[in-house]
Amino acid sequence: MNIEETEDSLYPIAVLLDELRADDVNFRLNAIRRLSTIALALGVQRTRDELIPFLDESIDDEDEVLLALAEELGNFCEYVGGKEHAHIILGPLENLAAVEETLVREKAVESLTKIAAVLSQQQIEDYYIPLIKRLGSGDWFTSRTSACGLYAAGYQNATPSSQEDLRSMFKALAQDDTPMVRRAAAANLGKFAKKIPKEHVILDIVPLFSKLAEDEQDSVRLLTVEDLVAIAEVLSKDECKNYLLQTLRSMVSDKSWRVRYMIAENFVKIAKAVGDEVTRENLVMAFVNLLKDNEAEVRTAASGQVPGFAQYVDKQTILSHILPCVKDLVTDTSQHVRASLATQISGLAPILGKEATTEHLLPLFLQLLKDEFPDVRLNIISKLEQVNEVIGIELLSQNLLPAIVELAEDKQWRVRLAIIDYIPLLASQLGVTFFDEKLGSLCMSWLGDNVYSIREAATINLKKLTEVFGVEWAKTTIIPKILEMGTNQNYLYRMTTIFAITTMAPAVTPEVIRDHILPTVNSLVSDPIPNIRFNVAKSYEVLIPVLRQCSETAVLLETQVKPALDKLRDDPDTDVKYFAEKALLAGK
Amino acid sequence: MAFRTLTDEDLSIQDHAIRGTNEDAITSKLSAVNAGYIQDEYVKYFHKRPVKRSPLINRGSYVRNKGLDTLIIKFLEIEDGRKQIISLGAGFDTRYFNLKSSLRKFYKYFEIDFPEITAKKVAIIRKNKTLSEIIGDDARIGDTEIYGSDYCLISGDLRDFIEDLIPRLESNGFDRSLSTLFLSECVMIYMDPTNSNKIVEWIGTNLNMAMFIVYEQILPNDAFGSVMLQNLKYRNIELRGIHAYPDLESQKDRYLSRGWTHAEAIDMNEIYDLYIDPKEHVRISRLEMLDELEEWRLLASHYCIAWAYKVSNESQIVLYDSVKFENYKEKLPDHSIKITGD
Amino acid sequence: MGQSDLDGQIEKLRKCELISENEVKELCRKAREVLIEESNVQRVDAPVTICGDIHGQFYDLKELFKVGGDCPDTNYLFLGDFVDRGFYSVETFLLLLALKVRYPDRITLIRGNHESRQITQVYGFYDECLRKYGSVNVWRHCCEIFDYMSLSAIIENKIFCVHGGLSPVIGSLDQIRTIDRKQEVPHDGAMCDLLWSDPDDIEGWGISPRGAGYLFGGDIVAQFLQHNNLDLIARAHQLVMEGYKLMFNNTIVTVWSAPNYCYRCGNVAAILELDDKLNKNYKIFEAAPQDVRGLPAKKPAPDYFL
Repeated sequence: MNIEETEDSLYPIAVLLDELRADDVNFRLNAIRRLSTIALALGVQRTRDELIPFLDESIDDEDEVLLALAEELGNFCEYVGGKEHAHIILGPLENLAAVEETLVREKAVESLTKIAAVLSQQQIEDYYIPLIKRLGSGDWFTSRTSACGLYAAGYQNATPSSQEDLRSMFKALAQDDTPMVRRAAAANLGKFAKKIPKEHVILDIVPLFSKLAEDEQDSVRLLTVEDLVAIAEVLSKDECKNYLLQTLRSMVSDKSWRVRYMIAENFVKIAKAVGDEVTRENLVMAFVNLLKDNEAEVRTAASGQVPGFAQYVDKQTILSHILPCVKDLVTDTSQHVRASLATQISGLAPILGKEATTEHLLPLFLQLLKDEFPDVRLNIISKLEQVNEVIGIELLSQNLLPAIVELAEDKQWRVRLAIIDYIPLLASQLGVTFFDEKLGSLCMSWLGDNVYSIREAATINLKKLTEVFGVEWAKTTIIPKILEMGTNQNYLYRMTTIFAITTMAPAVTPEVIRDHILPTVNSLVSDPIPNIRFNVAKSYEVLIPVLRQCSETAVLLETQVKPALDKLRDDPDTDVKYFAEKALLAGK
Repeated sequence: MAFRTLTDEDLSIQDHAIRGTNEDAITSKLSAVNAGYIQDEYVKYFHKRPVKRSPLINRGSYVRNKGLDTLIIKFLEIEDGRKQIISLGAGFDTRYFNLKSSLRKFYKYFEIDFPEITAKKVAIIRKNKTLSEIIGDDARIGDTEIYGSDYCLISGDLRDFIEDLIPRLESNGFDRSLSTLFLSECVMIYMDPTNSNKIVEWIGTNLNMAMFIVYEQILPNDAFGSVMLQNLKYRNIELRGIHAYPDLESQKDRYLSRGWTHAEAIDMNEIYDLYIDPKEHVRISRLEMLDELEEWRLLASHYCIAWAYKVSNESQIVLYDSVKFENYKEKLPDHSIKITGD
Repeated sequence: MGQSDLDGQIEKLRKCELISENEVKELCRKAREVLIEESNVQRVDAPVTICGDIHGQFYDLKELFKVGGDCPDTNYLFLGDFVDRGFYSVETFLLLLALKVRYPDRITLIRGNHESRQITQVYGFYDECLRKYGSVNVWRHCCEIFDYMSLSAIIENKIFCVHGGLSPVIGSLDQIRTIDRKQEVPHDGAMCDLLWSDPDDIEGWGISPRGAGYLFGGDIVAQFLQHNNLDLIARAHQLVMEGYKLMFNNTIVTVWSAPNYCYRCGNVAAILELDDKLNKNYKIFEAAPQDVRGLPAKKPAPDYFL
């Protein structure tokens, strides 16, 4: 069956019915995906009279089809004739909200919420609230679970007496016997709270929150962490203190690590929501406890919150309470904790300022740079720039240079690569003398690295350094060394020479090419390794436009470059020939 | 099979991970059934769409199933009165139905799992005539639980084993004086050891004749093991018990140090190599070509079956010692052959 | 298809993007012209870098190139098993094949036991083609190319390279040269053995637990090397946790180039770099880190028993 062909013609409902009954699930899925086209063809009247009732009756048994249907119906408003008819879509969605498969129910709830947003107060009263009531009092826990997600969307548009009903119905669900329903209530409590006037939040929602936060099931309790944030955002700071603080305290020391994990993961959000005062007075020790938690997962999550949380407390508190924990975490037994800390710790530098960073953080960086787990080392290196801005490169490099030099020979080539990427910045700040003394030989040694990507990065680094320190510096310091490698017995070194030359050519002057580089390139034309010979051809292609810049060197194109390329064009190796041709073409 | 795991976002991720482990197990089993490794006519009712798993996974499912069945049947054959089986975190396991259809005798078969799982199992059994007929007309079927004459499905949290589950098991016919087998197929491994230890200890202290059979992962610290933990964590599944019982010795010690009489633990390579009938080797090697030998060795060495029994009087030892594997290869035959060149 | 079309396709494939079915067809036609010229024992010059199984682990192949250098700057010899098991067999094989067509002298591909119609239907390549192209045409084109791929290679007349190992019916390289290789991998016989056999600590020949090929001992290797005046056999086929493994007094080496094989095994991978004087340099590498491989929308997780 080719659906494309019928795209623009009227798509009879009979065909749809056939497809929806097809054995092959893909046909049924296709039919659902085309529902809006079908509805458009049918017109709003027939969609309301025939299509919707049909969908209402025929519940597929394949979750994938139901999921697609639940999604399509959320966007169906215009096809049934706009807002005033939108309630008609509630019917099939209500069925979908009660099925066994969680994903389908969730999608149905999402679509119901979309539809609810366009309904009038009358429609809400006549159709939406009765639907919530039916689902909320269903025998099967699936429908009660779905009901929990529908309150927030309908509340503000309901009459005051219905609003009271809704609050008390939600209360019943939050106390349901089935944990899945309580879980759904906990997952939706915060959203509901945002729609309700503050006095009712205090009167109705806060007690429910406190109860759910003490639920016997930790999977219910952990969902109340986000409720806490949502409710706190509605309340004043004083009210937070009066109504939420006690519960928050017990959550922080919950016996289930999963609850503590959720708290740790959301700690900055919590601090922001409850405000500075509560945070300063009550949350610092709580945070310290999470940083010292027995479970590595909790410590990992808490480590991630360190700089964020530090913004809400004063510097003295950071130094006296949080920093000691951070010091311990630097040597944590779990590599994940250390890796998480390594990404975050540099965020403390701007908060602490130059002096405290130098005194307290630098030693920790140093330790993390030497961590046995490569991810930790990489994480800290990639964030060093942030520290650089606070204390200046000089201080940073003086303290960290030995560690950096050590990492330059790290076993993990990606760590070496991260260091290489950092070198041009270091160079520009350190100045040429200091650089030559401390890092010069390192930069040359990478050219002989065992890993190709490092050799490649090393040549790019040399180009960047040439841009920093100037052509004169390159001419006396690095170019001689590069050219010397061109006579090495090992062909890989000769390869690197030719790569380095090709990379650096645009950064040097035509004279340097003429006097220093070109002779070496010429000599490699008759190298025994074809890979070197075709890279020589490629190199000429790059040198040509540079030589052409100045009339004195332009003559070399005819006297040296062209004869060399002519020779390469007659090479027995196909690839050498190809790249020589290509360079000759570019030279014209 | 099924257990709640670390969540870092919301309910749906968590639900997903739970459903994941249970459905993963049932998918693998169905694949092995469809490929002809295992016979089980009930598993198909618990999974809608069959998925083809790799020959390696099929072989693993086969060895797991064969190994566990061998021990369970030997347990049921011990002649010391009526038998109970309690399957912890049973998921969609079909063993009850298979034992019934092969006319095995037992007093009661209990299954425990989270309400999310049992609710689905109830729904499937309710809708399926074949399954509900095996359980019997007199069974009471609720939202998340089933109470039949010899089958009982109970929803709950294994972390509340003593306080919550034991009283409910007893009110549904569990008899402490009868010989009882506890099964844990990749279940206790998801629990904090403090919680799973309580279960092992309680049984060892409170029952006179009990047996435990566990199938789960070991060797978390070598290269394969650490990637396994990482990959599972990526799916929100955490093996919280693996470091407490990381090898065969510690698996045995789990019982011996908690009042049990005897314990054994072997990995799946040993079961496949020594305790599977060579005729079966031939049969399954014909089902599919397995070109994953090195990987099979690795994977199979990271799963074990451990079993232990607790008896209160010496005379029973010989009875419970009969629950063991038969060694088909006391002596490995010489593989080498002589072929003369062309 | 011109050189620039081909270069464009290589660029796409390097980014792990698919080329069209028609382009695949054309690429395979070109590849056939190149491969048909190759000997069953293809001559390869040093310097060259020898690589073992890849198995559709595209991002780890990219990692291999990062460590060993790009093609054509580095010369490569791949010992087969490009497809199956990993998530990107199509992209992996087509990239290598496109490089072969573009730079026939720089890269050599020989056949592994997974380059077979039968095996690819079990181990993933068939399903992947069907999933990514909506038809099995691409799989058919590739399988046809498999039949043209060489069975072995010889580097500077000293190092014999093959996917699996030796065969009891083969004593000399000339006997390999006479095989009619243009066919599906048979269930037994010389061609099958070359792609399926494994070295083992036994004397003489043994039955392979794989159900195809043989096990062969150090004495067999010694005889073969002596008879053919060779120094070393380089082969792949078996997962080695350390990436490579020398056996029998350094007369045979297994090279394995799929790190964390099947995203599950935790092994490192290796390539063997030979310079122009046949000096050996084994390079170990690990799987590409998560941020490099990106996150496929719905990546099937590796199988465990749960």
